Amino acid sequence: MTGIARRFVVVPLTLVGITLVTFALLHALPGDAALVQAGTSRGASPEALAAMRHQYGLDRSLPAQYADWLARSARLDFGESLVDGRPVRAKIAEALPVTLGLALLAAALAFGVAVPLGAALGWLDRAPVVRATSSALYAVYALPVAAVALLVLRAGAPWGARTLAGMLPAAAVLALAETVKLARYQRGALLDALAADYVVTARSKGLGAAGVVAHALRNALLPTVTLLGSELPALLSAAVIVEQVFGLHGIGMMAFDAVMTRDVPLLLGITTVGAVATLAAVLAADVAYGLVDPRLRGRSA
Amino acid sequence: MRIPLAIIVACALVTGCKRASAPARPDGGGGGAGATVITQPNGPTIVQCPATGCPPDSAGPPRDGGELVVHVEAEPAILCDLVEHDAWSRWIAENVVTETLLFQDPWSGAITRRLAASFEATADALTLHLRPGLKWHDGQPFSAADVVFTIGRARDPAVGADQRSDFDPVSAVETPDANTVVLRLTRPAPFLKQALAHLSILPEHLYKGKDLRRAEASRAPVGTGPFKFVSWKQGDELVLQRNDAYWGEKAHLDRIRFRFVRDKEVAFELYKRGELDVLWQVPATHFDEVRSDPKLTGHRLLSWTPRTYFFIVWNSERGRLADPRVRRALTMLVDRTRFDEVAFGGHARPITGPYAPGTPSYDATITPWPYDPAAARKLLDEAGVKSMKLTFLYYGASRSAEQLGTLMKEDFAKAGVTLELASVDFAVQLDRLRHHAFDASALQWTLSLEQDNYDLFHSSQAAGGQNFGSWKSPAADALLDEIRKTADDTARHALDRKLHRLVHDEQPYTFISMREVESLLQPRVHALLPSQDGFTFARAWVSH
Repeated sequence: MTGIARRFVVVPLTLVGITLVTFALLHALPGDAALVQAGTSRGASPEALAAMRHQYGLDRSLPAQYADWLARSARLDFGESLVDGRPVRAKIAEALPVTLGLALLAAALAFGVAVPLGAALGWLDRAPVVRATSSALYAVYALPVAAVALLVLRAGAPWGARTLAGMLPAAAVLALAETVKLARYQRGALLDALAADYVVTARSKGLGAAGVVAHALRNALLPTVTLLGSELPALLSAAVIVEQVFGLHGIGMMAFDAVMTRDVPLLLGITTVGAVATLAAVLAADVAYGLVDPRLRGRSA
Repeated sequence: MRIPLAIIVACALVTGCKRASAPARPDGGGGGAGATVITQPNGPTIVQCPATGCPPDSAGPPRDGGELVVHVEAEPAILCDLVEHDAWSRWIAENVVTETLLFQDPWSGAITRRLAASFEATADALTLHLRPGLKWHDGQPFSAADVVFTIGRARDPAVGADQRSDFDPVSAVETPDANTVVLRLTRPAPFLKQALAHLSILPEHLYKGKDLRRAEASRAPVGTGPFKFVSWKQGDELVLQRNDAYWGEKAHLDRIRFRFVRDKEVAFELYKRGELDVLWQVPATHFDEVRSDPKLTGHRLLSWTPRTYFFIVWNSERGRLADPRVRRALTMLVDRTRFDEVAFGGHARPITGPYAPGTPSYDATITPWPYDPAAARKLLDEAGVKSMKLTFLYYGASRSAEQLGTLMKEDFAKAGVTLELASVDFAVQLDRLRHHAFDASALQWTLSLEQDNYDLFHSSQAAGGQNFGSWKSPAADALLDEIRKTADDTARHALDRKLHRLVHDEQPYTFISMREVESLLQPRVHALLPSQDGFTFARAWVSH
C-alpha cells in the first residue's frame, strides 16, 4: 500500500477515534446541557430538567447516543445544537470561514515573513545584528497574545470586520509567535544546509553567493513547510483569544462555549471538522514537501 | 448615598463643578428623586442614582429617528423568557418587542397596565380586560387566546418557567370573550400580579404545538411592542426597528443595534472609539479613570445598583456547618468590607437578608454581623470546634468569587479553619449544588420587589429546588407557608421581616453585598435609563 492510500484507511479511523474520545470526555464531566440551560433559575424543577433531557435525547444510553451521532454524521448531518436548536452544520458554516481565513492569513504572514527573515539571519550568521534580532524575536515570542491584541485594537484596528483586509491586524497578532518559531527554524535549517557537502561542492565550483543561498534554501525549506502544517492546531487554539478581542465569531469561541454549555453535538461537529482540517493540513504539507524535494515524490513522508 | 472621596476632591479642584438634585419623574422609567448629579468641565457627568432609580437628563424635546448601538455582554441563546433565564434575553425583548399584561415600575414596584387596559382583583379572581384591536407584528390579531396559551405554558412544570409557582393558586383560566381573561383563584395569590408583569405574552399562532426552545419565533420574536425584530447574526449583533403601528406612544428611535461584546475591556475600548452608544457596565479596573477622563466630557456615567446580591451558601447538613453558631462564626470571619474594596473598588452596598433594601419586606433595623475574628473564635469554642476543614466551591470564570475565596482562606486560617478553594466551571458548580456535594459556595440572586423566598429556604426545596444548602428550619417553613397565603401587603411584609430576622440569626447564607453598576452613555443619547428590568428603549432618543 502506498503512503497516500494508507492514509485513506487511517484517516477515517482516526476521525472516529477522536470523536469517540471527545464524546467520552464530555460525558465524563459533571453536568449536562439541560442543567446549564436551567441554571439557577426558580423554574429549574426536576420535571423541567427531565423534560429537557428527554427532548435532547440525553436520557438514552451513551452507546445509543454515540451510535446515533455516528450514523447521522456519516451522512454529514451533525444534528442540532442543544443550546439554540440550530443545525450544527449551519453554525459551523458561519464560523469556520472566519477562523480558517484568520488562520490561513496568519500562516501566510508567518511564512512570508519567517522564511526571508530566517534565511537572512542564517546567511549573516554571527553578525551583531543577528544577535540583536534574535533577542528581539525572543521578546516578541514571549508577548502575551491577549495584551498585544488589545493594544492593536486600541491603536485603531477594526472590530468585527470579516473581510480579509479587516482581519489583517487580527491575523498579524495571531502570526507573531508563529513567525518567530518558523524564523528560528528556518535559520537553523539554512545553517545546516550551508554546511552540507553539496553546498561546499557548489562553492568550490565557483558558484556565487546568491546561487549558493538559492541552492541551500530550497533544501532548507523542507522542515519549515512540515512545521507549518503541524502548527495549524496551535494557530486554531490561539485564535480563541484573538477572535474574542477582534469580535470575530469563529470556531475557537464556539468550541469553548460548546464545552462550557455541554453542547455535545456542536462540540463533536467542531472536533470532526477540526480533525479533518488538521489531517488535510498534514497531507498538504506532504504534497508541498514533494514539490520542494523531487526525491520525495511518490514516497510518504 | 456614597460618593467616593476621590470624586469630591477632584470636584473641588476643578472650577465650575456643579452638583444638583434631580427632579422626580412620573413615568415608569425610574424616578431618581434625590439623585446626585455632578457635572464636570473635564470629565463625564456623574449621576449617583438612589433607590428610586436614575433621573433623566434635561435635554429635549425628543427627536425622532436615528440608531442606538447597545453593548450586550452575554449573548442569549434564544429570546423567550419562559425558557431563557439570561437577563439580557429579557432586557432585549421584554416590553421592547414582546409585552406583558401588566407593568411593574422597576423601582417603586407600582403595578400599572400594559396589554391589559384595566384589571380587577377580588378574593377569588383576577379579571383582566385586554386592549381591543391589538395586532401582532406579523399582522395577526392579538386576543385572550394568546394570553391563555402563554399562561398555560408558564404553568407547565416541564417548561420550567420562573413564574410557575406564582400561578399555583390559579385553578382555572377563563375567557368569557376575546378581550377578557379571568384567573380563578383557590387561595390568595400575593405574587400573581408581579408575575403577570414579567410574563411576555407569546403569539399562539407561532408557538402552538412547538417546543419553546426550538420554535422559529424564539429566534425571531414576534410581539406587540414598540419595536419589531429585524435580524440576529449570532456572535455579532441583533437589530430591532421601530413599530410604526404601535398601539401606544410610539418609540423615537428608528433602530436599536445590540452588539455582542463579551470582553469588558474590548467593549470599553469600542465605547471610547464611539462604536457603542451605551456601555452597560464599565470594567471595575477603570472605575477611577473613567470618572476624571476629559475625553468623556458630556458623557453620562450612571451609577446604579441592581437588586442582585452576592452571598455564600453554607451546606447546613454537613458536619459542624449544621450548627448555626458555626455558620455565624464563619460569617464573622468574612471581611465583607475588604472584599467590596478589592472586588468592586468599594462600589457596593451592604445587605443583611433576602429582601430588597428599602422595601417594606427588608428589616432595616438589622445590622450586618461584624467582621470580628476574636468573637468568631469564641463562638467556635462554644460550639466545640477546635479546627475545621472546608472546601469553597466557586465558578472559576467569576473573578469576584475567586477574590472572595482568597480573602476567606487567609482570614479563616487565623481562626483555625482551613479553607480549600475549588475552582470549577458553571456546569460542575450547578451539579454539585443540586446534589448538595459542597461545603460552601458563592452565588448571586436577583431580588424581585415582592420577593417570595419559598424556593430558596423552604425545607421542601432541598430536593430538586434552589435550597442548595439544605437549610431546614421549621420556623422558616411556617413563615414561608404563611407568606404565600397572605394577600394583605402590610401583614405579609411583617412576615417577610420576621423571616429576614430568622435568616440573619441562623445564617444559612453569609450575605455579602449588592454591587453597583456604572453605565456609560454617549452625549448623543437621551432619556435612556437603566434598571434591573432593562433600559427605557421605548422613550430613548438620540440628538444626531
